[in-house]
Amino acid sequence: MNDSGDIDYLLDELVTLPSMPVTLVRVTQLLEDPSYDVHEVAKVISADPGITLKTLRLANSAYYGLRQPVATVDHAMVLLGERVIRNLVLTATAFDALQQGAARFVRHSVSCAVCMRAMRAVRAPSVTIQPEEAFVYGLIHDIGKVILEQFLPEEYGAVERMALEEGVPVFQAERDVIGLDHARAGARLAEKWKLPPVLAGAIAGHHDLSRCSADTDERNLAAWLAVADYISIMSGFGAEPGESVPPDPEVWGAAGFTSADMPEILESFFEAAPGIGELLGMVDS
Amino acid sequence: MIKWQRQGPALVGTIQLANSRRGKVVLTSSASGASRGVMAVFPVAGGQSVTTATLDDCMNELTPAQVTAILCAQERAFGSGRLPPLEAP
Repeated sequence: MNDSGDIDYLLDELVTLPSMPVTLVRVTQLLEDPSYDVHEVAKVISADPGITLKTLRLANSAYYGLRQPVATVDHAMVLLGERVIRNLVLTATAFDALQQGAARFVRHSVSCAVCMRAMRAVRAPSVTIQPEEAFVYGLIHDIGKVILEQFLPEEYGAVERMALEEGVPVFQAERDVIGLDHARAGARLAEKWKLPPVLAGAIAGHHDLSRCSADTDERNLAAWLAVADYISIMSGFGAEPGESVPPDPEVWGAAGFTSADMPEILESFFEAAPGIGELLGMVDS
Repeated sequence: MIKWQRQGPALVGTIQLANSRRGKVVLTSSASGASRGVMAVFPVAGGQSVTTATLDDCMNELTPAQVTAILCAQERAFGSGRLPPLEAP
């Protein structure tokens, strides 16, 4: 199979994108109603023990810095609010999906999540995404790798060998061997799960900004994901062996980062990096 | 991408600045102190001597990717264990 392979055919026939998990569907539906009932949302989350456990562990983790322990979803909703809870449920769902992937993918995804949040902390006034969105977007951006490896294990082994032996980027090897890269696969999953269109577009474009729409936020987010990817790899949290291609100047420009910005951004990430281990424990639980 | 090599207690890599000047970047310690534990060394025309510069001195001539590679390598080699250690020959 080569680059000319029909992407829709590949996604329809070879890769079965997982359906949007029921709990996330229901929570999203309920929260779309401005007059939603907090207890009804909490009831839906609480009916899913796996998501409840992960949501409460996340809410009680150092990342949310709550002064009092949270024991119930109702309590978490009151303390954290609807937007945070929606992203907590999405994060917990993403942890479930990542659990299917190899440990190195999970570690890289969690590192990118932590890096995105650290970048957001430094750049709070100039970006539209919230900290919890930055985190979960980083967590999800490479979910396409998990899908491709899960459904096409032999081909994905060939992808990794090609990347290592020929020194080409993994996304290029995916295109050459499978005819589809993880960015496209991940974007389709984001669309299928009805995640924000800006996220689906940014996932599609995080290795190629020309795939993004003209939407400035989408290009900015795609560039942030590319930078978080690169920082994670340089920090020893890469997903694959072999060399990394640094983002090109267009990406840094779209992200809004200059050389002089990087020491502060990196220190913010280095400070948060010890938390990666705690979060990895939640993925495995 | 910068290839790092150990030379005694230091890590050394080759860089090229935006003005095409080529030199070595030397990592000697963690990022504390005035020099931030990073020094760039450039040959002077004729090759008989060298000039040195701090990371801040070179910042405008380095790409964000180069600054990232340098500071991540420094943190992995000389930091307080917040990142996986760097393996350099």
